[in-house]
Amino acid sequence: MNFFAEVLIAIFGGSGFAALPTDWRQVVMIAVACVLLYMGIGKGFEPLLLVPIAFGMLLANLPLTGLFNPPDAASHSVGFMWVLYQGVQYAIYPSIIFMGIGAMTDFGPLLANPMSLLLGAAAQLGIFTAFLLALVLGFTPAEAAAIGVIGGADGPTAILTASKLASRLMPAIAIAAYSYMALIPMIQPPLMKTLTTKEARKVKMSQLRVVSKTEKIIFPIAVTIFVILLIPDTAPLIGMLMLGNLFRECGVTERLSDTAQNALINIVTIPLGLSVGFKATYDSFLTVETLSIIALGLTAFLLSTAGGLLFGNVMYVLTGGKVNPLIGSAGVSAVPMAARVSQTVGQKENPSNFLLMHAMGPNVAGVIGSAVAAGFLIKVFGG
Amino acid sequence: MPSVEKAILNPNNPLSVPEALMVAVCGMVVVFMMLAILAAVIIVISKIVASMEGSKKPAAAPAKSAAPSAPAPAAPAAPAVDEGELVAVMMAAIAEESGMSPNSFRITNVSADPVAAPVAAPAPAPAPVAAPAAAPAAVAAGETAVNSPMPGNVFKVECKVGQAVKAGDVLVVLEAMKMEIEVSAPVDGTVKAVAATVGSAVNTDDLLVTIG
Repeated sequence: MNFFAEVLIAIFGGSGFAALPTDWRQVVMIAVACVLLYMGIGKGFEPLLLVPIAFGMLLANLPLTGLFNPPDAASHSVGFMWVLYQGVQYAIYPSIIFMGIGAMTDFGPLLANPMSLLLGAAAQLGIFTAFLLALVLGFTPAEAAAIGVIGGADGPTAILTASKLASRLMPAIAIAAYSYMALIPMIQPPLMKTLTTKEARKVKMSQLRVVSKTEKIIFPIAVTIFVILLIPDTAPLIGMLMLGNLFRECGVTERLSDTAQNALINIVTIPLGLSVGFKATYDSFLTVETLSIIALGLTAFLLSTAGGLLFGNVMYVLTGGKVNPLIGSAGVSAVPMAARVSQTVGQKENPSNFLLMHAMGPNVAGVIGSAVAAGFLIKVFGG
Repeated sequence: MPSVEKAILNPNNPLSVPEALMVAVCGMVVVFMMLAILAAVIIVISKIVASMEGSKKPAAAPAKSAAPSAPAPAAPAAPAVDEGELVAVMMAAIAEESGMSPNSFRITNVSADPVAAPVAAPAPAPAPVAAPAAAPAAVAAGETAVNSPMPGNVFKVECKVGQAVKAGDVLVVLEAMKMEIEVSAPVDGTVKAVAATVGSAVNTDDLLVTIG
């Protein structure tokens, strides 16, 4: 009987329940994880990402699991999450996801209208303004750069930059980036209406030319050569994006393209989400910094949208009213959500206005644009 | 963690105001420059591809321009599924593309897609439509063709032959990029013919509905 009681006490003493009361913030984080799970499952809020992220967060805040223990030569053991995290630490997952995005993306609308690349550039405005604002709030330059990249509206790029420049802040940055991407249909339209005139919103754009297969095959190869020669730091992102796109377009690697855009991207999303969530431990996440990152992220996002729209207006004036400025807001790289918003807002103004394909041009240009901006910041701050 | 040795500016020390502004402005300039270079590269590539393929098959161009840009009103053709047909149908649109040489693209498309020539050649109607937005060129007087505004799939057909419609009524719902897109009637009238069938793939300028 005595033995039985001893065993019970030992089991309870070594359990997480005993360790839990040491810090109330752990309990708060477990609650936050459950709320995020509810938002993903109950509200359908980017569930493919939010469910693994929230579950990682849940695991991270349960005490005594040893999931994040680095390899221990003496006992031949290593924490499971520590292993998965290496893919984030060394930016493996974001690059593989970019390959999937490349395989999903048709660069045809961009090739048909190369000028839309400039809209994709203008919509990176938020990255650099949010960088300045983050400096004002007292973040170090490297951290400010990582926070600014949220304005590119590109989850993988934001994670990659954060892992290189400010891995401490990565969970907050990733969660902010993905939340705002999900909120695009709510965030963008008011701004789009404020920054464009009714007349300009009604502009119908002439149809895009058909792009030949040869051009589509040469494009990823040429981009890889030019962009990576110019900014070598973009190599993992741009290289994989273009490899995925080459799989898609070259016509002889259909199986690889299919795997990259479906199976592989799902396989990688699971450890990516889990690892990002796992970094959200109570001591790193429950801080004022997290709140400022979320606020800065929203500002970055709005400013990027504004940048794209303003440049859209410039193009509207320069072309004598041939370009609808609404496609500018699609320059933020969330593909294809931002292009869909341009379509919806444009059609509301004029039911026979179809901007979807025109908006896809700036939209995919935005992906390249934010990768370039991230490459620039990584270069400057030595990530 | 960023390494101080590799960095151009120390990632941990606070930046002075001019330094910070410089980073931001430089960054914007670099992004613009890169994408402008890329735009130039794309333009050069498309010119080269166009001229290469143009010199290979110059004869294809005239055959192309004779392609019907909209099916005859009486017998609306099935929506083009083949990429080759798309090329034929979109020729008119290409002429509209500002700042580009219409000829070179015409040739590009033909040679890139060998199927296009045989498909287009036997077509009887010599109707090169100039303005796809206005569309009805190939349609009988008094009738209005409602064409597909973009490549996609027909998701729903919301009108029947003989039905009276008002301008703005939804005729067809297309699906593109996982998004439903409503195509509505441009004018009041009666539906004369419905070419769109649910589930079929359509390309830009394919006839969906004729209103008379």
